Amino acid sequence: MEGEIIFNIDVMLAKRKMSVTQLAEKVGITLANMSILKTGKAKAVKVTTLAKLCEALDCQPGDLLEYRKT
Amino acid sequence: MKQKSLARWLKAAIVGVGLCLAVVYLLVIPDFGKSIAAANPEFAFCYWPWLIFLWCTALPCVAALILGWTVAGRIGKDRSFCMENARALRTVAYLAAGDAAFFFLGNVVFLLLNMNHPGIVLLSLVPEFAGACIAIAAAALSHLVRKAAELQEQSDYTI
Repeated sequence: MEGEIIFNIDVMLAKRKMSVTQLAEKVGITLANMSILKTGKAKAVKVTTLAKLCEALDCQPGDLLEYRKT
Repeated sequence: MKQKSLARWLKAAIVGVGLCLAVVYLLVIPDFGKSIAAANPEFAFCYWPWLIFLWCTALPCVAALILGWTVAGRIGKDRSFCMENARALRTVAYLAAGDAAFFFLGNVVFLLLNMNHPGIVLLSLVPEFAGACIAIAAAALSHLVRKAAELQEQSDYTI
């Protein structure tokens, strides 16, 4: 059975001292979609969205993504 | 055509079909049955069994209209492609197929009980064929709506 990809946005938000609302505004997605990302309900993430997240949080994709076996 | 407008037209069509069904089952069929019973007194005993049988065939039609109403409601709320609609259309397909089969079996049973005529059994194939076509169309629609709902869900959860 395949594992899941977790978005560790909270860790980077704490490091950059940014709120979820500010991040959503910078990336250009709604708070609802940000919540979908954080709770692992997202079925697909656009490469452009990932690029915008990395730009806003000044980090690498590997800092945000974690593979967890189930 | 806007979605809300489409939903309203669908609901109006469903009400229209419902009224036609009411007229046929509550007025036309009983009157026709009475005229046949009056013209052929030896078959007068068949009037009530046939009437009750035909009223039973109306029940799946009413259920299908109610399901159609719920589908129209969801279309109006911008939820055209959802699993509930796919399930509702699949149920309509089963109701139509079941009703056609029930009507055919009823005709055969009445023929075996000498309460029917072979010509009527042959004539009954027309509404049975119509029922089968409705079942196939509803099943195809259900499949398409299900596939679209899956695509919609993927799209909704693509960030």
